[in-house]
Amino acid sequence: MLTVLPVLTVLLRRALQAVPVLLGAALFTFVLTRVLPGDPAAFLASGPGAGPEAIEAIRHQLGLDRPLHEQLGRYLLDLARGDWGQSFITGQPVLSDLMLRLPASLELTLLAFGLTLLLGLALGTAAALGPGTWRDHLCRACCSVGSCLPAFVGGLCLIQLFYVQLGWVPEPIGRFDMVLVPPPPYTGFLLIDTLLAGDLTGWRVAAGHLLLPALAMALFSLAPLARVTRASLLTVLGSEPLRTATALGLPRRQIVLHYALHNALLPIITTLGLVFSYMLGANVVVEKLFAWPGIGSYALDALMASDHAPVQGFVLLVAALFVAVNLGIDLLYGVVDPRTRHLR
Amino acid sequence: MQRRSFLHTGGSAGLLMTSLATSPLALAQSRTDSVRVLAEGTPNSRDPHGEGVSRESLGTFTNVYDRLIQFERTRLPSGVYRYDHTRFRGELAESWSSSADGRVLTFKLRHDAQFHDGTPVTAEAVKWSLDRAVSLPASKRQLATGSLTQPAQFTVLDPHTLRITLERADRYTLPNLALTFASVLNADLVRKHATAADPWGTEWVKNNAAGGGAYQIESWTPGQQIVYARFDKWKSGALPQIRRAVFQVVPAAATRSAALQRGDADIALQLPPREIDTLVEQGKVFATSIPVTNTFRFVAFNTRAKPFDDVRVRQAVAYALPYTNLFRGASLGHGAALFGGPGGEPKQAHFPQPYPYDTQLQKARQLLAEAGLAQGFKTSFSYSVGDATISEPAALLIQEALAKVGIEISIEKVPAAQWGTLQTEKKLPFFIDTSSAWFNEPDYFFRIFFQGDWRWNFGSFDNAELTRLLEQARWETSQPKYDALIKRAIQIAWRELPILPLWLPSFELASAPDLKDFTYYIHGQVDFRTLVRGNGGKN
Repeated sequence: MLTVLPVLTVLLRRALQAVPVLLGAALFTFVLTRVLPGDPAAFLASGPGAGPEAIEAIRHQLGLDRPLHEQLGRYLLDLARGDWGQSFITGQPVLSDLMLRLPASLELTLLAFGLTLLLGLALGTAAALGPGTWRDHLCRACCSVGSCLPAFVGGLCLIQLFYVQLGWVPEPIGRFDMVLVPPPPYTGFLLIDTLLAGDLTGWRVAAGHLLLPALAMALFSLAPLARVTRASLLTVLGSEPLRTATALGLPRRQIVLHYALHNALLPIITTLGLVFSYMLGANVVVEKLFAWPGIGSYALDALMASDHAPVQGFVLLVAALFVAVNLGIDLLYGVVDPRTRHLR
Repeated sequence: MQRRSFLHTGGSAGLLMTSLATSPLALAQSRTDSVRVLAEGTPNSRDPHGEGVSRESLGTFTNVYDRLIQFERTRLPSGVYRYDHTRFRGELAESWSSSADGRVLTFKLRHDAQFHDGTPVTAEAVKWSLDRAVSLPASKRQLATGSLTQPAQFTVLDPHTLRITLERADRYTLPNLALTFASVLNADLVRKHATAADPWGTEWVKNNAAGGGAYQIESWTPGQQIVYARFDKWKSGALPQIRRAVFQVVPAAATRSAALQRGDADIALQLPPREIDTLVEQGKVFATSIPVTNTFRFVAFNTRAKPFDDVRVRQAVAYALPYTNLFRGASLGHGAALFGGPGGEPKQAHFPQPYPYDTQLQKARQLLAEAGLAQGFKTSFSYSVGDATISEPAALLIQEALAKVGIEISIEKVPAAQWGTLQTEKKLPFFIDTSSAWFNEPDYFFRIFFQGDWRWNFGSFDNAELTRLLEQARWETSQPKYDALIKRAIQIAWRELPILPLWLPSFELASAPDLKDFTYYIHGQVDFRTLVRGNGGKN
């Protein structure tokens, strides 16, 4: 009781704090899309034969000829009613488009994040335990390659090697094999849905489709995590408590995994939050390359076509996700470092 | 504790290398009667009369709906077909006839045709569809170019006979009836979903196909993939061999190309010239370039503003462009050149044809001096980021070449979303782009690109003589007279240069080696009806 209540209060308070953030995001994107130079009507009427009257008719139909404050009022009112507008590039309501695509993005990002975590922590720890050895050089090489190679090039190399040359993975297109029947969408996460449906072949196919894009994303987000882990761990390993532990003859394994990593975790968690947020927003390139039906490529297509509603919806959704991620990170701080608990 | 087990899993990173190769199930379905197409963009509507439909939607309309008539096709030396814009054959119409004065067209419908839900196709449904087409703005704009404007023009004579009455005989009526804008919808079905505010059921048709074409939509995932299944009771042609067709959106050209090479896809659309050349070199897939005559690549001048309001400046640029380098460097030689023509009286009355300009720097300098710009000038040169594959190298080559005659251009990359707006508002002094018209006839081309207060008049051109010539040509029935008018119009375009065409691009087809009888249409999408796989072809 006593331990649960503070967490609930924190959650509630943070949820309330998120409201102005989201409102701000909605306002900001509304203004931004109106200030952007593209005119959706001119884009829509792009068939030969569309003269000025046709463009004016479309502007009227889209409500773009009304005063700005009226458009904004309408937009906020619709948002409150759960209507995020209509996309004209897909011809569907934005909310259903986003909900259809969000699991794809999340599944990819989470898996890539998991890979980053495994590889980054392993590399960083290995490097910190033997500064100047081959493990340190390996870590440095991976970080350099990962941060220098644009995600597009890295992805292309992976496709060329694992798909075209070796044929180890299924074609790098979408989330699932188009011949197979996808599992019923309980969660939208194919790896979970296939298991729920007891479809092991499906699971393998989904995993195969996920592997390359996740690896491509992990490659470019690896560097910051590995570097921070290495630096943070080196500092901690040289600190007095750790030297005392060594002097007391505790096993090295216990020293590193229990005491050192624990103390080094705070900066790592901060970086993790950054890396995750960054991955969520910056995976457009990977989504495009692998024809991944995610929210990033959806928003980019919409932006190219002056399709305002999906862009606004995307920003709003990502803002909400960021709020959630930040909340998660803050709660994690509390778990890892008791000193930060009373700060709230 | 949890933390520790969490870190321990680091050891299992080795699972990455477990082979997850293509499951055998992927090939379980017979490949001989299915086809898989990968494209860059996505269809966004099922309504052939809809506003703002994407180019890919035209492929959907072609396969899902029937029209009264369709274009005939001719076989090219490479073995594929291209549509012939001058000849037609029946689709829903068994036959048709024209009155002596060409003002009345009578169509006899086939008796056995039905829509996907089993409703028979009647003249009443055809009339309703055409009424709808001339009532909704997007299709109305196009069909008006063929004198189809009023519902009163369509009369049902009996359940299988439809009459179309025209104010005067129009050579563009039949071509328009063969376009997807004249698709026939299941009138009874759509009426059920119409409302008082939306009498033509546009909201419903956008998300629900109501056709009787050779294919039905089995599944539609917006922005991702569409699965078509053959409609086995289709009567408007020989039953297609392809039973199932999958259209998938794969934005990256490299990925489309890789899947085609591996044999996982059958057709990759919109591959840039470089990818096509690589595929041809490797020789694993069938790749061919089909000349496209209704699309052209050009640079345009704003003829209403300095310095390009002076025709000598435009001609100077035309003599300064590095045509051969441009064509080879930007388009890798794919397409047909529109420069270095002989000049004088045009030999043929077709358009676009090569302009009588080639690279002659001396002439360019002389013309600039005559225009009082011997010292050269500065201006900007724009292209759309969406078109960067071709435009970017072209812009750099043009920048380099024009510097030799003292014209200093700053290159402006314009975001794709903004491009249409800037063109519509005529804010660009000098730019490169590509465009196309529905029909190949020169007077149609000229009316779209060389006159009018709209985006498509890229050079903002206004020439009284040209306008008069085009008005005469519009209704001219004698071919020699028409040709004479057009040749004069072409000479004006050559001399005045509101835009300077560079080359005709080509439609690049890359497909699996066993896929035959592809037919190229105006819209560059895939018509599944004609495709044949393996040895089943009638070659």
